Amino acid sequence: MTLRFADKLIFGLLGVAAVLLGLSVLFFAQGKVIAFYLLGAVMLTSAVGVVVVKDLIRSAFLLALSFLCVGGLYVLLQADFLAAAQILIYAGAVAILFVFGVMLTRREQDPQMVHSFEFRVTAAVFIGFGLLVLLVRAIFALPWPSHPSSGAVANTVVSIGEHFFGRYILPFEIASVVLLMALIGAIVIARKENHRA
Amino acid sequence: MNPSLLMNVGLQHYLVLAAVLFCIGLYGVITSRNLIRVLMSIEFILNAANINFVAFSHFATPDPMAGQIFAIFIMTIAAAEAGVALAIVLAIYKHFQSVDIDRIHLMKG
Repeated sequence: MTLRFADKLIFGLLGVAAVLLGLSVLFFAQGKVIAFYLLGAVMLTSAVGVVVVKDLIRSAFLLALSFLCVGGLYVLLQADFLAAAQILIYAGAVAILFVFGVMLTRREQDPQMVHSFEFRVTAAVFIGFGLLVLLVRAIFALPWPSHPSSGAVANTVVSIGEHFFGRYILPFEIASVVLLMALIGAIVIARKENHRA
Repeated sequence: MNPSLLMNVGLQHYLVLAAVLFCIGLYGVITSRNLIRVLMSIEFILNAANINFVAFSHFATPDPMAGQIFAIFIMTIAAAEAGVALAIVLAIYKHFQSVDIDRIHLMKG
């Protein structure tokens, strides 16, 4: 299968960024700052790739890469449990679920992409870019703290566990019920109907 | 832009990053014709919200755990959503033989 130029560009950029990330964390004193920028760059590049790349399987794996980079950002934010959960749930489960979804609904002649300049693309560019400009202006208009708050916890796992079985016990239980309902609902919706219901 | 703003990664850097990710997700939701790609874009939007929660909990909260716990709940709901939504996509595919949004415009079964 041949790659389009945009695909080649995205994959090339991702490769270069990954190499730079490894080198910077190993060799530079400012590794945390460089790691932030490179993780962000890889995340955004692969996110653009998910939306733009023509082949859906490729975009499913780019989705996994993007989720991994979000996990890396959580590590930089000292949320170690959340980083592990992100990698397990998103990169491990959700992305693979999407791969299965792509495989089960794949057809050769499906029109996967929008045709070049539809109204919808123009509208999406205006909406997305306008919202982005608005958000960035709002963010830079306000003074934000540039240093971590004093109460940062070193080991988040213990603290998260105590919160879950203390103050957040009710949402925790409700979340388990929601997961059970989603499990049953997904099976009921997607099962093969052997007998005529 | 002065260099200290670039080198001193603070809360606003994460907020900008999450805003860009959110807008990419929004663009994907609007432009995609394939249902599965729409779902992927929705995951980006949820992840952008998660990054914001964790960044705020790291930089600017009296209770450093609240944001992370909220993010965990969002993750739970997102996983449930992805499962149910893909089941619905499979059901739609069985019914219409297609996952193209433009061809699925009947609301009656």
